[in-house]
Amino acid sequence: MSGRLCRRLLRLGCPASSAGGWSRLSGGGLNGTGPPGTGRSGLSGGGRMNVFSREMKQRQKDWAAQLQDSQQYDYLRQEVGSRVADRVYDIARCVPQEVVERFCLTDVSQQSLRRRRPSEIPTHCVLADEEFLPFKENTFDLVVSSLALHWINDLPGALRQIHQVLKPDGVFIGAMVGGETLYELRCSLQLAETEREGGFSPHISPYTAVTDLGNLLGQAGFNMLTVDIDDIQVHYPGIMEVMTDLQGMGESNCAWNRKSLLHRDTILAAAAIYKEMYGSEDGSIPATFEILYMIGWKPHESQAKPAKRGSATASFGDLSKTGQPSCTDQP
Amino acid sequence: MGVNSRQHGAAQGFHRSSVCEFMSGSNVWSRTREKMRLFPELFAQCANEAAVYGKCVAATTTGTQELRKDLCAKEFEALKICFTNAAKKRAR
Repeated sequence: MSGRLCRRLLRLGCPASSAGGWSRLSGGGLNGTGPPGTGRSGLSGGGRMNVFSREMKQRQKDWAAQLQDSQQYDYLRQEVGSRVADRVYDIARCVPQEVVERFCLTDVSQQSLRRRRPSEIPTHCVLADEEFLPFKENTFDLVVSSLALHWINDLPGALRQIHQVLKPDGVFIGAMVGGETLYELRCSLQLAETEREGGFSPHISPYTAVTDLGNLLGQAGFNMLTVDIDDIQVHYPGIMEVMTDLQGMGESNCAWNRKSLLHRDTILAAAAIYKEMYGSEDGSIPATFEILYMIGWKPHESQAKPAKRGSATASFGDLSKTGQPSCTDQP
Repeated sequence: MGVNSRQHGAAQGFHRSSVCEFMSGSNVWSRTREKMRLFPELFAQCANEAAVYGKCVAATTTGTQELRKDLCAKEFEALKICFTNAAKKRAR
């Protein structure tokens, strides 16, 4: 073992991934003209958003985890998880295999925690809500969240808490579902409900826009941000398979304003529209998952800072001189 | 003359947020789920009607006509009749 500081890792949300998302997109979310939503929704006076029912999400995740064949729904999480792992390995200072001394896995669902894969790294499982992390400040060198942030009500608050539990010069690597995810499903349901019922209500949960993400991370106090987007397209035989798989992943909608009933006629209409508008040659239909990857560092003196104004040693004018042949003889 | 709970359940749409009930034996949710499992098979038999209905609705996204309730009711009726017939044939 090298003489490094002890490494502690925190992982939010279990290796299974979840779909859906949180967003303040004004245009992206559907504003229902259909039946009014049930329960609390929207902004409360204190500015704390309450969009999702966390209790419902816990029940959905518990149910999905105890399914007999729950592994078959893991493909999305595994794909995103492996891409997040790539990013972790890329960061030179974190070499998990050798120097991780403690690994904390948190999830809001107990069944998901039980289902986790065994690993050689000593792991603590903590049953915790991502919005209320039960850890002291400056505990972790690395926090990883893979497809868990999109069901959080107060995302700025959660990011601030992550920032708090990180040690200075600690890093947060996250992946969450973003704006364009499942737009085919969303549009098909919207058109079908409009044509069949005369109005529509949101069935897909709201997502974060990539432009918002940078601001959110900055406001939470993170430095040296990196945000990039990846599109994963999965092909399904039909709309029922899309919805069944989302449910099996534990990604059913749990927003307060969700409509709990989907009429048979509407499903039939949506299936026809989905196939007609987005179907491919071989009869399958695509579902897009837009994944946003983010990396942020907790500030520390050793980190590179922007150079002071007036300290430049080269001029932008020199750029125009590069690329021209340096030798003087002309053809 | 009691209430037949099976009829009551079957007439409703697909309820996706049930968690505990259907795990314990046969009830309205498990029966509805069973019916929904047949959906892809039945839907595949009505591909033409589905395409016609789909085109009618999709046309509103590109053209000037705005989508409103029952704009494509005729096409949907054809699709629904085809679907119901396929279900009846399957049930035999």
